[in-house]
Amino acid sequence: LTLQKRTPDTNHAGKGDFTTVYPASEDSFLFLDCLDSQADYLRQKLKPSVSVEIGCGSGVISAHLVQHVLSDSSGVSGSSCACLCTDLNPAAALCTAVTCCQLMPVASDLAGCLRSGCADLVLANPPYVPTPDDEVGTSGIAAAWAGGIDGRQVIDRLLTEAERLLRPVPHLSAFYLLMLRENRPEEVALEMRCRGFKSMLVVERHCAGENLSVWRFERGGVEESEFRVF
Amino acid sequence: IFKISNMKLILHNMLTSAMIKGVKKGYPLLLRATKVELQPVEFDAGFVVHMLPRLDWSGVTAAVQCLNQPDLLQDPLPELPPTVPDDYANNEDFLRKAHIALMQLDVIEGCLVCPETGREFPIAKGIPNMLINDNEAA
Repeated sequence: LTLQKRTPDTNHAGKGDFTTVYPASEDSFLFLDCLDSQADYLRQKLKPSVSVEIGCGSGVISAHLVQHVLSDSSGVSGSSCACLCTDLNPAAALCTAVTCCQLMPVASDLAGCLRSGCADLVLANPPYVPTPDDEVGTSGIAAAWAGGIDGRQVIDRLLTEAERLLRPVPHLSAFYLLMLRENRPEEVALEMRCRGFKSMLVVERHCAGENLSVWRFERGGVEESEFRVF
Repeated sequence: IFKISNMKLILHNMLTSAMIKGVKKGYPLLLRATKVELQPVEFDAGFVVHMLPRLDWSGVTAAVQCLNQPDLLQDPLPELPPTVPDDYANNEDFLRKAHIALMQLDVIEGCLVCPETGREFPIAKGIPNMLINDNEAA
C-alpha cells in the first residue's frame, strides 16, 4: 500500500543550487487547486497529448498535473501526455527535473524554442507583481515575480505566445493563466475573447494581501449540438 | 540520490531555433550528443500512438541518426523506417522501436545546432539551454 502525496515535494527549491528558484507558494497552490477542480475536463474532454508550462519555476504545477491530475485512478504514473516546461532561469529548469523526472524542462525565454501549434494545453503562473519595467526578466529570483507596469509586461507577451503554441482550430485547446486583480483580469479575458478564446474564471482566492484568480481560455472543439458525419 | 530527467528525443522533436533573427524554420535541430544513456522506460503503446501524429517523423529519424556515433552508446539504436507505417496503431514492433527512440534515449551532455545558422545550444545535465542574446532575437 503506497501513500499518495497530493502535492509535489519542492523542498529543494529556494536553497543551495536552487536559491534563485521560486519555491511553491500560495499562488502555486491556487493553481494546483484549479487543476484539481478541472480534473474531469482535463482527463475526459481535453485529454492533452502535449502540455507546455511557461515559467515553471520549481516545476510544482506540471508535476502535479502529471502525477495527480492526469494519472489514472490507480495512481500509476504515466499519463499519455508529454509535459514540457520552460523557464528563463536555467536553475529552475534543473530544479524542475529534480522535482519530477517525468517532466521535460528546457531553459528558454517564454517558449520561443517550441514549435507553433505543438500544444493542447498551456499553463502559466507568471510574474504578476506590479514593479518598475526595468525589474522584469533580470537574472535571479526577482524575475519570478517582477511583472512591470500593472504586472502585465510578461502576461501580455504570454497571451501571444500561448495563442501561437496551441493547436489551431478545430482542435480543442486550453490555456490556464494566473493573475492578480491589479493585472485587470477581465480586460485580459476580453482580449482573449477577441483572439477567439472562450474565457472562464476557474478559481479565485484572497491570499496574503493578494487577490488571485486562475482563468481558462479555451479554443476549438466540437460543439455538443454539432452532428458530425464520418 | 536525485532522479533527474534528461532530454528525450520527444522533446527534441518540439524544439526550434526560430526565435533567432532570420531563421525560417529552425527544425529539426542537429543533435551532437557527447553523453547518451539508454534509460529503460516501461513500454506504453497508447502513449506512442497518441504522440505519433504530433511528431515530425523525419526529425525523429534524423535525431536517431545523429546518435549513431562510435562509442556513444553501448546498446544498439532502434531501426526506424523512413516513414510511419499506415498500420502503426497495431504494429507493436514499430511502436516498441519508436518508444525506445522517443522515450528511452537520454541525452545528458552535448549540444543542439540550428540547421540554418549553425548556432549551438548546449545540453548540460540533461537540460537543453535555448536562451539567446537580445541581439540575436528576431
